[in-house]
Amino acid sequence: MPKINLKKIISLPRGIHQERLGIDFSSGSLKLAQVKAFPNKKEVINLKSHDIRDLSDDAIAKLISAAFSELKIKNAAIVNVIPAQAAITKNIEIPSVDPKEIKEIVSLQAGRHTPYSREEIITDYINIGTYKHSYTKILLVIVSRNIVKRQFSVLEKAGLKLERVFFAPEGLAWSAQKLLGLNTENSPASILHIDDAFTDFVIVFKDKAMFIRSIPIGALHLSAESEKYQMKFLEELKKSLEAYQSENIERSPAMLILTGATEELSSLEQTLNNYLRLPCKIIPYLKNIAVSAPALDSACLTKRISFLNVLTPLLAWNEMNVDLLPEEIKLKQAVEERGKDLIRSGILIFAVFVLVFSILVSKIYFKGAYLERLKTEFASVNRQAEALEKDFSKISTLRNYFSGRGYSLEVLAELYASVPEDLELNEIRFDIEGAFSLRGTAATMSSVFSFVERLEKTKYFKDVKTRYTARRKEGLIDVTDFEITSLLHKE
Amino acid sequence: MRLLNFREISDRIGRLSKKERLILYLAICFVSLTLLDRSVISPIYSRIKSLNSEIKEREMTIKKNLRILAQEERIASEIAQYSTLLASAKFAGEDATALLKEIEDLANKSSVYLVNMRPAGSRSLGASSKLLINLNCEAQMEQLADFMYNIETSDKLLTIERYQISPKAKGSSVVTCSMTIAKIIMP
Repeated sequence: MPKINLKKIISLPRGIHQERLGIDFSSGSLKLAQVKAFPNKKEVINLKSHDIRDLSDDAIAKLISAAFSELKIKNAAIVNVIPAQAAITKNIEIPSVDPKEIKEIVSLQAGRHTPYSREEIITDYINIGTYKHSYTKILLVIVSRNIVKRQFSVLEKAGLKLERVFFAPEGLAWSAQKLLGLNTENSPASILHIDDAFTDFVIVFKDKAMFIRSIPIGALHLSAESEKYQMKFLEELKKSLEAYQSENIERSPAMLILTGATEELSSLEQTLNNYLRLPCKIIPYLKNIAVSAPALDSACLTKRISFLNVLTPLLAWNEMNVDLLPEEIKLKQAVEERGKDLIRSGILIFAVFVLVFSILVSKIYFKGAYLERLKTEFASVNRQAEALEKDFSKISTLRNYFSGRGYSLEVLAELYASVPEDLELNEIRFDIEGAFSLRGTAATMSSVFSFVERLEKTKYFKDVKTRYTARRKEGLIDVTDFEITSLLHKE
Repeated sequence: MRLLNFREISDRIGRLSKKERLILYLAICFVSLTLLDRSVISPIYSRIKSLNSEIKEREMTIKKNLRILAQEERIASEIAQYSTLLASAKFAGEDATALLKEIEDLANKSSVYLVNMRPAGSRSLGASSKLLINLNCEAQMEQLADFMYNIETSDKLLTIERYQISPKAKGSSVVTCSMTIAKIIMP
């Protein structure tokens, strides 16, 4: 059965926006990003962060709930973002190019790449590309089910309903071109996304994350204790590059981009340049997107926190392929969605029905009104015409009368002229409807027949027939009795 | 609860084979369309159809009436032309006696012996009608012909519908005649 996507059919009209809200509380801080998506534009409305290092889940839920009330959010699509440090990633090759088969193989093999059992993890993958025509290189993403469950539980306590769970580095890869202005079509670029407690090392090629490594050193460490952590950070970075090269996925990156919470780390650019002998550049992530003044203020105040990982999935909404929602939630959502689809279809069918019904009823109404107008507007015409028609029919009757006047006498006169001397008529019957008959006596039978012939030749009689002739003796003479019938011919 | 029911139905449909599902969907479509047709489409369609035919009929009548009205002057002039005859064609119940008297006068004028005469009802001719008189008479053939001529040329719109003529006796010049005379009557 072909599936009708009602969401596509009933898409958002111009001017109507969709509100999206991204939440991340996997690390030590709660990050909230609110984006308004218009058909042609996306705007960051709010950015909020809170330190949640010593808070319980209940307290975090209350904090989220309070933040929601403060932001006055209604009908927003709420998503959760899983950062790189909460996931395990592996570059593997799958001997298939069929997405369905790849998904099945990934599901089967995922357990091998983690210490968890298959039931304890949620998996998905980023398709890096096809190699040797029959192999697909993928970046396998594995997340502990408990992490996602915790997110759901906290958000449920906050009275929120999660729609999707995104993988932050996928959004980061999308941002390479769209937000950071990098061209990764020809050569890979490495992006260092520095957050408060972690740094994501992501190799991006053709806008796809090919290699991900999380470094447990963030802006907090590098700003507060620069001397202690900088060297460690550089070593971790070197290890990350070596790990990427050892995987033999693609060429080495041609440049290194620093983004995220980099405001207090301007000296790091030069240090990295010297240490890695790779062109390094700091690019702020908010410069290529519309950001409201409160959001910009909030981002400036929290210099050691980056909102990039929670922001990009909201901007790259339709291009995010990794979905880390647990299967049972997906199933529940699918059932709910089907129910909603059914209701939408019902409403649509009902609307079409009402529309067609209205058109037909209005057609009946207008035709009825037109008929009524014909009756009222032409009532006097009809009355006059009826009176005239009556007069006309009287005239017609009179004309008919005059045309047939004297016909009975004309028939009699024609008969008189046609009767031979030796023929005696005993009865003449005339009916103006067309019947005519004669009875009489003739001297000879031939006289009767010749009389019939003569009658046939006149213009008043047609179909003249001798009904009978009977010979008898009258005294000493033989005579013939006869009866003739005919139809009257009217011109 | 509603969600569970929906899930149950969804599961049951999901368990059906592709062919069974197709048949189910087609059956649902067919039943829905039939119900829709019977309850809504057919009554509306028949109402529209009857309105269309009524409008068509009404438009044709109006066209015909307009054509008749276009000939108003001609009809009026003809009515004026026949006004005397039309006045004489008007008939009230008591005029039947006058008609019998008129026929009797015509018979007397032609020296025709009226044996009997009686009204024979009337016959409708659409807008007009005919009042019928049956009579039996005896006369010479010439006198009878004169009587018939007088009837046919009367300004009372009389006409002979039927007659039966036969000699009164063998070799006699007197004939007996039974005749039906009609008078045209207009409302």
